[in-house]
Amino acid sequence: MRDHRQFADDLVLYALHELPEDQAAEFRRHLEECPQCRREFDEINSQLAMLALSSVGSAPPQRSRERLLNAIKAEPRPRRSIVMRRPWWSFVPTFAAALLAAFGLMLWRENVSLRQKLEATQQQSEQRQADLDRSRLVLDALTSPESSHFALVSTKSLPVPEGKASYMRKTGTLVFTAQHLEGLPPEKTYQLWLIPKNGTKPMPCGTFKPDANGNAVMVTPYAEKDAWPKMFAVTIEPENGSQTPTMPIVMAGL
Amino acid sequence: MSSATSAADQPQVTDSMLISRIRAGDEDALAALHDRYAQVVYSVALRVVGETTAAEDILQEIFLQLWRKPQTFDSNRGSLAAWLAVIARHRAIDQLRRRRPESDIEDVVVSVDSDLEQTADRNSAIAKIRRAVEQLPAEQRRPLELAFFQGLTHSEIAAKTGEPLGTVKTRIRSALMSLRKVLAA
Repeated sequence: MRDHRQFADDLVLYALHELPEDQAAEFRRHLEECPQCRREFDEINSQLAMLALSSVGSAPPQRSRERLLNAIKAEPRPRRSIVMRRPWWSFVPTFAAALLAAFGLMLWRENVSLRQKLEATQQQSEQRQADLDRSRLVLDALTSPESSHFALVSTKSLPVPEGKASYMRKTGTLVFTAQHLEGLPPEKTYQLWLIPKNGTKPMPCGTFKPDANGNAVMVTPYAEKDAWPKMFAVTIEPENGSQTPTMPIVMAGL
Repeated sequence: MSSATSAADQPQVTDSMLISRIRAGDEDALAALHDRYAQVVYSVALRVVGETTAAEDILQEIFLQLWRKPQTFDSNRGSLAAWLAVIARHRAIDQLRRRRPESDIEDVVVSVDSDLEQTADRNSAIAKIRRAVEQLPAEQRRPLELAFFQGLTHSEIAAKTGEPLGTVKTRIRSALMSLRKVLAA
């Protein structure tokens, strides 16, 4: 590896293109790193330029100009780019416009997303309202004192107590209707039981008394959730109800 | 006479302006620079190769390179005329040695004290430079011209002149220093 002094000694040789390519490449690298040699090199080139200019005298043939212009017309036109140095602040409006456009786009997308969510929520709400209205109608028809309830049975058999329990596991909602019930003394009441499939003890589901026609309707919105009923049963219990059913079972249904 | 030709000698149209126009693809600007400096490039090349066709080819090649890569000349770093003169010498030497050019356009900074953009000033400066070269001591001038215009290596000059290699090296360096001093005086 040559040191600075060796490079400095050979600057003229390098400027005259006398060095072999490997040494010239080494020189180029050194000039990039050594401002002192670079200055000296520029100085030598200026002196060589003087020497070159001292030989100026002969004019080229007239055709050389035309030859050059014809040659550049035949050249593939290079892509010319004019680099205009603009002050930094001249980019501010462009940057601000781009920022505003990006912000506007972001707001528009947010708006569209919110509108879609609102429409979905409105649709869900309308569906729920429709379900609720229908449930109310059903419930009113079953529970309203103004409703008339008719039980249709074979004309050859006598009416017997019968009931129907509707249970929704997910919400724990229980609707029970019964008819042809016998009247009870004031200190007694009917009680509905849920008999679980897993064999655990019966769950009390509410007490009820029939009307004068032997009909009864009981709605328990928040009964036990997630129970798996094996069957429902009705017993006669003391007026305040019991924690365990008292035999006999008046009605039972799978 | 074309507008480009006129531009070559218009005082207000500087080399830097013409280079900028070449960057924008202005063929007239290249023609104007050719009008201004073809003689410099051609005569330097002719002095080295000694043959008009070869010198004309070098002239053509250098201006084509300027057209293709005008950005490689930075007018803030030197004189275009002096730069072209040096490039012409190097290209001619490359041709003489039958070797590929070392680079398309060389990154050399060549600054001169004289104004070379206008014909009258340029002719005056060249005359002054020529006198300065002629004033060099013969023992300095000869090895310098052998190295510069004939492309002889220092060893070849030593063999030709019978001088020791170290002496040749010193004399060439001294010749360049003397040239600078004479021109600065």
